Amino acid sequence: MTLLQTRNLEVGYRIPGAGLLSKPRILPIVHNVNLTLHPARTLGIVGESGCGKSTLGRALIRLIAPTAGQVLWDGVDMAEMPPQTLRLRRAELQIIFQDPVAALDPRMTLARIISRPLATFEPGLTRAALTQRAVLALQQVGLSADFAHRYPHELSGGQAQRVGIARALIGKPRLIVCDEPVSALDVSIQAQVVNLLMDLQDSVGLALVFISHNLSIVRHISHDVMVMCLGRVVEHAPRDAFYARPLHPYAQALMLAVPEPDPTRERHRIGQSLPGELPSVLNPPAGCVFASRCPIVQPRCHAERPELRDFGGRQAACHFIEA
Amino acid sequence: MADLSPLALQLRRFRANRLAMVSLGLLTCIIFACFFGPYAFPFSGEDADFDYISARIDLFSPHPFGTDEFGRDLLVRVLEGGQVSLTIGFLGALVAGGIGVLYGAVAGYAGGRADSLMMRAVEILYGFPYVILVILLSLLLGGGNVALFAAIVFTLWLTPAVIVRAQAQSLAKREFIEAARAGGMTPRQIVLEHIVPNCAGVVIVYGSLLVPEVILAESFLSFLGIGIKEPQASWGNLIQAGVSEMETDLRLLLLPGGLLAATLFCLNFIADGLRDAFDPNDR
Amino acid sequence: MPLTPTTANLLSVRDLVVSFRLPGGAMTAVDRVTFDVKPGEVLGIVGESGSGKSQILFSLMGLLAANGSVGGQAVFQGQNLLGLTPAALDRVRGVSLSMIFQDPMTSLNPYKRVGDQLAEGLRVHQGLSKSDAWRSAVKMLDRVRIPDAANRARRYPHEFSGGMRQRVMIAMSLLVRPALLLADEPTTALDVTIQAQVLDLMAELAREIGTAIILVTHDLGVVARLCDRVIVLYGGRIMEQGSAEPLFINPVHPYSQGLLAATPRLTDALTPRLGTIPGTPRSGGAMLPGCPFAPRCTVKIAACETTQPPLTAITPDRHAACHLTGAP
Repeated sequence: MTLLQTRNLEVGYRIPGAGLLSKPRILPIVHNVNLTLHPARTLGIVGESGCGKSTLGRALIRLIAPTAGQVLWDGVDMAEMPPQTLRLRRAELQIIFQDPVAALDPRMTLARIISRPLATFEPGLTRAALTQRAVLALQQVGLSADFAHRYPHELSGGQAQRVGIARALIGKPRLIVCDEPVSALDVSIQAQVVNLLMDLQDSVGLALVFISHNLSIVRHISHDVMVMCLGRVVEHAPRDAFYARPLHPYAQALMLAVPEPDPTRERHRIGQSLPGELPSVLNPPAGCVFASRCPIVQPRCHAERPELRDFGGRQAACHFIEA
Repeated sequence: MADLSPLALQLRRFRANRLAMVSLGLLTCIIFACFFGPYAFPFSGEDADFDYISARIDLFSPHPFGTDEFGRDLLVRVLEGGQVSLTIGFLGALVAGGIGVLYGAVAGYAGGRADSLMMRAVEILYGFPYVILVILLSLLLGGGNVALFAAIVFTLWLTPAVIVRAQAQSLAKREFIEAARAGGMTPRQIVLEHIVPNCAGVVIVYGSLLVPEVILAESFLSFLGIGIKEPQASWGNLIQAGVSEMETDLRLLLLPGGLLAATLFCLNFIADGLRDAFDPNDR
Repeated sequence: MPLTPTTANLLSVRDLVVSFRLPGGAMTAVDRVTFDVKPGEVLGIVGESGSGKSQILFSLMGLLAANGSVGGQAVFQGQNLLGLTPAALDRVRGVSLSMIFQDPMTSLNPYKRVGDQLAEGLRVHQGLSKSDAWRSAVKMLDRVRIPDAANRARRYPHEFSGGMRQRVMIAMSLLVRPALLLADEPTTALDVTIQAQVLDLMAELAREIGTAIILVTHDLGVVARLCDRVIVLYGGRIMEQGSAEPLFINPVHPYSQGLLAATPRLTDALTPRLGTIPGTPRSGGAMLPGCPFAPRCTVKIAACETTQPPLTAITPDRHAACHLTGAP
């Protein structure tokens, strides 16, 4: 059963035109993404800064409108939904953010922050009922009821992220996009939040899109992995196959670059970093996005952009992969 | 920290500021005196007392601070003038601030072309010479106090609009606004429930400077003769009358002038205190 | 590989205390920390937020905030850094003691060209002429693999990417060939592949110049890649310290064990859930009477909450502060 599907999804930003009346041009950020999401499954999206993963995440729940292509929810194109329907559907498509404290309105109590979406999704609830639902959501994320009347400035990063999750849960969502949800948290707290998300997936059947630059965390929580570079998908594979053997040179470089808490293994990795930097998003290359840094680059790579090809249940975009 | 809202914390910081609190107290006294003081006297500021023309300060006479050349009690006139100046000041700041906040919040949150157009309009209005604009509006609206009030507000809402628009722009990018959109809130709901309340700090700080600005504007205009007209008193026209008698009778200048100065000082210290208390850098 | 260890320590820190005067009372950020750094070695200080790790570096460099105060000693090249006058400290800083910071965006002067900022240090501290200093600066930029160094030196910081700015910072700090480099989370703000480049660069240059490094980070992987020895810090106190490899393979302190269990791996077997440490890291307030980790420790005993465990030697190479590990 497919929850969400994208077809040739493109997302870009409007850059205002030079004069007051000239047309804005569109700077493309995400190119040609095709993915499907299923209940109780996690898609991990990895990439470095500028790869477009956050933009993609927001486009999946239509916080940003795509500039081309389609996003289908339950088989219905979200662009075709009337505004009121879309507004109510948002209960099912939620998001949590990288900076947990900035994601909460500093002037509202936690109860109000968490229950506010219900005023849109389930209008007519009394103040008492709203608080009651907020308390239930707090308990669902492991926070006690007396957090209800606290303010965001009183919370630690981990607690704030739990509140964000509670708010996302209030409308009984079927999908939550997690945009670097633990990058700003301490290691011991990251583990708590990741475990919480996995517990919720098990208990409620939540689908997750987990966006992160941290390959190790993505490995832990994902069923499928998608690697992005400069707005394009360069590899898309089931988790175990991917981590056992990444096919795309960029994915391989990422794996090698991630430092592991294992000195014996790490000693051998010193001096193996990939030189150079990726080109800017504003000036993408004509051929393969990774050509400027790829260790196995050939002339063909600069001229012709590789398409995603199938390699038995997984895909990668490179001219020179042996299956 | 036992569940104090950010607003409560900021007010507590304000209360700890001695100078601001003293100023607040003094200002309250002045306001009280202006609105209730005249009741202590059997006459109003417009009643001419022919027994006491241009009387000097004599604390034991019926007119403790003397009278002007028409026999009108100076103290009562100054207090009644204070009623006018303070009312226009606070009400004007409230209305100008209110208009500015809404305008700025909408422009800042909307962004894009709407924001450009709205701010171009503001910039054009900024370019008008202030006094001429007030005179024109006063004439257009048929003179009188209401027209004066409207004219002052019309020129003074611009700065709050610009300030709130900047604040709204930076707020619009914050994650909790994205979260609000993900929660299905309409732009109108977002502006009213999230943007405007989070501009409160900025508005309070600059709004508190708006009050002395309005009072000074009215005083200046009345001083020039295009504001509050005789026989109604305001600090501005009282000061004008006092200036023309400066050589002979300093008292006519000092009483209204002194009270105006004291009020402005208090307002400025209060604004300083509010600025310290609501400092956005302390988030 | 570091130089052959000599008996003389480059830096000896004894009972370092850092505290801050806050409106609500005093707050101890670092509580009697003691460690040594040998010439040429790379020491990692790892901890979460509130552990005080950055404050250790700031106190050595004399960069504490106005409401902070230090106690204890830090003997560097025969002098106690904590007791130096500002003038005397200036003769050490930027000469034999350098520091690089976490945020490459704000560490460089945006109004000066990059080459000028590099050359300035040489002119001031080594008395080089303008042209000699510029030449050395360009050479150093090239050394840290900034492409087209001669032209890039004429550009301004905002024209460089984050990774390149961090490399410029490294160039600036190593240009004077310091004996000790303090690095405060130098790669935290960088992308993964850029982080790898910067770490490699630091390792390479340190080896070449013989600089010792104190690297502060929250990332255990970074410590594993770069560091010879590790200090695990929590709540301002050292929980465990020793050579990196044995410590990672066999941590003895419950906090170190918890941290390693909570760190997800790329290659080891997957567990259904990540190991966690309950509760939240310490955030301000007075020091607890017992072990700072006690509120979160799953194996604590009664003594843990009343008496602070001293840092004792488990083996000659490993020290831990825990009542349960017991001295030999």
